[in-house]
Amino acid sequence: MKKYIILLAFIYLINTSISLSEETESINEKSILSVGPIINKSVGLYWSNGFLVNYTPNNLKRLSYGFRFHTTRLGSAISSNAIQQENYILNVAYEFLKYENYQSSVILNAGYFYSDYESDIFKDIPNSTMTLALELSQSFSIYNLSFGYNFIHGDGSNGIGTLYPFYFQFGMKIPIKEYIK
Amino acid sequence: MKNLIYIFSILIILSCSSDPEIDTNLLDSVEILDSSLLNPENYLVSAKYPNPTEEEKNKKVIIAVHGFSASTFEWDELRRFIENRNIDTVLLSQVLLGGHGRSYEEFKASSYEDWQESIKAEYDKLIALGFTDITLVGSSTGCPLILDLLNIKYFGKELKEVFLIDPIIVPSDKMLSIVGVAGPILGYVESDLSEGEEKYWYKYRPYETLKELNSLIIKVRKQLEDNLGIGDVKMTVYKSLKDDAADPVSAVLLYKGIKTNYGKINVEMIDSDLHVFTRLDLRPTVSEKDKSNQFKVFADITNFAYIR
Repeated sequence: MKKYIILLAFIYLINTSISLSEETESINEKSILSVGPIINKSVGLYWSNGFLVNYTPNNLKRLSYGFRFHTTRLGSAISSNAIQQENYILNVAYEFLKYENYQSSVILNAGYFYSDYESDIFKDIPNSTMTLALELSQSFSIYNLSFGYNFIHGDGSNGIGTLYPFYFQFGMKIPIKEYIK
Repeated sequence: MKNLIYIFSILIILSCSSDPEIDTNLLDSVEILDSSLLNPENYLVSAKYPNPTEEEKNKKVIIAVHGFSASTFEWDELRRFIENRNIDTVLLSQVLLGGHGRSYEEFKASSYEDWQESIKAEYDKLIALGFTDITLVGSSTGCPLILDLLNIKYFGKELKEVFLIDPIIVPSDKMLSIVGVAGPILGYVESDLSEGEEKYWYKYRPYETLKELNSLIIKVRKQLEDNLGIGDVKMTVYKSLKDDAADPVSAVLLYKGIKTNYGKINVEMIDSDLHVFTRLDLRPTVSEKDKSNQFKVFADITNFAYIR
């Protein structure tokens, strides 16, 4: 029961903070190209790390595009027997709440996932798949925290067993180039 | 909008389920018990041979460990295989995991350490009685229970060989990873059993036990990531290629994670879509391929010579 009380308190705090802020409707004055590291934690399984590239065009108020790559080779599989796997993702993000200091976004991800089983014994188990995920994301300045759901995940008969449905992701978007029209 | 969120949250809290209504024809009821509790001498070598002869002490004793929510029934066919072929070089101990084969309430209150207790107890009794050649056979959750004991070097030199059938290291149902959050809302999960299975498997799985299962497989997976050493013990893993309970990728984690003094363990991927493909009794349909898979593995476990 204690965790539900904490949940209610959390919902209340978020609502309060939203009601105190004022949404910004201004169009981006610049197009921004950002890069940064990402840390991904699959709920119940591996850590994987990598990078993101993000582009926010100035002519679209709330849309941005990006590419992400993360791998367990830079995470759980470093000096351990965790399976080495890679995730390549293209995404489009829509900012449904946009404030001066933070933004809330919904992100659609599509990509490719590969898992290295390192032996022919496992040649009959699927080791690569297309991915499709939906993510809720909260940005504070250059910091970004997301919670996502993989629509395509393993179920024992289809898909890859180490592709789990839920994940958290922390990232940084460091602007490296700005374009003024 | 804010009110809607509060109402939704309160509904979630109120929807927390209580325990299910349990019919008396279910293993979950207090009326039906696993047979090994009533007649242990028919299931446990330690109970059948309280004063073993020298010849009996040198026979190979197979300790067979069943899976989550199952019972000793899961290994009855191995007993029949041994009896029907008059294989007199092996003895079979079918252990009943703690909390299993009793009642829903006892299952709900049990931890994975409780489940493990009966494996330790039978092994310890056999060693105390002087048995010298022990083989462990596990199915599904029985496998991580055995692996966890191997990791702490629980077994002595008497343990010669381990067979794992459809080990669960990665669950097929990935929702198990959020059982800590979803479990209190659901209360329990009802399993889909075939006719007759309700006397040998729990129909209702309390979320507390699913949480225990999740803790166990996460623990063993981490042990495998860090190298799980088994020394000179021989190990063979058999894994169905399609399995709705234990994901086939479990075999990869075992292959990578278990270290021995003789090289890699033996892993065989089995062309089957059954979970615990060695148990065919009470399956709605059984193919010739299923029978052949079962025969091959039983022959391997018992060293039964046959022409392949």
